[in-house]
Amino acid sequence: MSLWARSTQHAGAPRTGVSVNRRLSLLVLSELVTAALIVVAAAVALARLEGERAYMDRYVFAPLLDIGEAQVAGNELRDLLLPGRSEEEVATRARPALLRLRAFTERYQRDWETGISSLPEAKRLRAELERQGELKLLEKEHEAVGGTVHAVHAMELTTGMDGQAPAEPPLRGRDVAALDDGLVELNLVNLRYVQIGYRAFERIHRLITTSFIVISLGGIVAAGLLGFAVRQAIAPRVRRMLEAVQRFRERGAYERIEDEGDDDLTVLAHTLGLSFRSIAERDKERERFLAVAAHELKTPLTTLKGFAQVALAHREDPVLRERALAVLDRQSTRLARLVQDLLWSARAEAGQLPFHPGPVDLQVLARQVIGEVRLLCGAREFQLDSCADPHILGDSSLLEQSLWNLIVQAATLAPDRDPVQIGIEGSMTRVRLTVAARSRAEVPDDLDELIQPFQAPPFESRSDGLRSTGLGLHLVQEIARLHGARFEIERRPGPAVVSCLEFRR
Amino acid sequence: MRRDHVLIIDDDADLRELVAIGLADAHLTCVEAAGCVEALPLLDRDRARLRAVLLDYFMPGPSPAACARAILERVDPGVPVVLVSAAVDIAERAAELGLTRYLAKPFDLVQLHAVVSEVETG
Repeated sequence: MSLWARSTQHAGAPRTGVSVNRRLSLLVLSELVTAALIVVAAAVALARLEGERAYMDRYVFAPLLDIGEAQVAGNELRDLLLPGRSEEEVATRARPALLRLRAFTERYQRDWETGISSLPEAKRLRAELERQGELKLLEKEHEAVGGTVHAVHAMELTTGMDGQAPAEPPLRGRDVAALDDGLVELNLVNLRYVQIGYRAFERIHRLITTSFIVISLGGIVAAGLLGFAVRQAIAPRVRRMLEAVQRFRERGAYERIEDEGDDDLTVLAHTLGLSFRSIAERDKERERFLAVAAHELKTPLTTLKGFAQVALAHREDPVLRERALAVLDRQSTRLARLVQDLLWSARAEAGQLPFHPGPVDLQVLARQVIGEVRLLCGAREFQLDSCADPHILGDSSLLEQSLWNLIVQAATLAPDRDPVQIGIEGSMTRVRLTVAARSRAEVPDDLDELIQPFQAPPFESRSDGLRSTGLGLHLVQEIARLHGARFEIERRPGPAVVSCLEFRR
Repeated sequence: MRRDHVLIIDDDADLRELVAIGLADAHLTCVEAAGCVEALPLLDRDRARLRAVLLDYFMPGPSPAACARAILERVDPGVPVVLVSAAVDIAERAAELGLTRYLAKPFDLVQLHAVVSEVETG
């Protein structure tokens, strides 16, 4: 099992033991074994059939041909019994046939007489005769051979082949008949041998055929069972994944895909689960962003709508009308900034924040932003201290929004009427812009929380009406990243919170 | 004693001012608090004159649930505590806090008047 798969298993969860990899390996192995068995069986069968063919040729069919030739010689001797030949001619013409017959009887006794031969083929035929209950054929063969040998020997004597004078007559009819009888009997016995040999061949043929059928069927059954096992290991789990995909499409909610195996499907299920979770979390984040954005937009809208009604309803009251218009102006500025923050945050999330770099004077930019913020909160003091060359290369619109967000955030955190200090310092290679203010007690311990979208504490109870949008510092971070600048927030004695943007020249 | 006071608890100063102006048109007196902690003594002080309490959801200080519980313990029966929020699911949030009335932002002065006019107590 891979470390990854092991690490993703839930503690205490039951193991299903349905490893696709293992079952597929078994399936492939069974196919290989089946193929190997078929190849081996085919080789054995071919060798066996070749052996059978050679045995039949050499030991079963060959004697029949010799017996046939011996019968031809016997026929020649019978022809010599016909009248009209001299005794000398008969004796002379009988000798070649008798020589062939003697050679036949000697060869037959040496090679083919099954009852006494020590050849492996003879032993095999004897075993087959015993198997088929035909051992009496051996006796018949022996008698037929004996009769033939005796007849040939008698004719050799009467024809004078032993050096004596031929007898009168030199060829006797009873000897030729005895020779015929012996050869016919021998022929019949050998035909029975052919029959028995062929039965044995058929039995072997059936054995080979059966073996092939058994091996093939065994392979098919094994492959079928293992294929079914593989399917059982795959199908339910794939179905669970498909159902999870379907549920995710319908509900958009992440549900863990249960799969406790240890194979590639488990990896796939967990990857799918992680993807679903990632998509669901992103959707949830987007929904949360939209909900908070709607909330943030509706709050200034309420005061805009209400004070517009107040201004319309109290046309004859210049003080109230003036106050309503001032609130309208401030809230519309705040709303514009919020909308800008929302749009740029959305573009930053998509990696499409517009970036048009050019020369920027941070001191001039800071003065401009401070002037705008003062319009909203005249009572707040802003101190700008620049002791370095304030020129950098950057996008003035983005940097202006960053400065606005930093200054408003600092003013939001600071107690009423506490000054906000903006500093520009640096060296030949770097410019450091700091925005510092004393902080109230509600600042979170982890200052990075201030950078998270809409995570900043809602300090709306400003007497000066300032309020961070909740997106400001997150956007500052994105803008800093785009400029290759470093952005950090520090806590300093005071207690003060200092936001710092460090640019490279 | 006539119940002509309405307590607005919201950390947005502009909104509190708007509610005060709007209620003045209806001849009601608005009592303002920027947070829950600040509101509790006012509840004790003006209990007999309170007509309604308007409560924001997102504020620094105690949790909305704790704040709502503390307010409900201090108001007379029949005095409505109205949740005022820009939250998308304001009805659910009100039910969460045990409140039956709510006023969704953005609202206009007519809706504000309607909320406090529905309750004609004492």
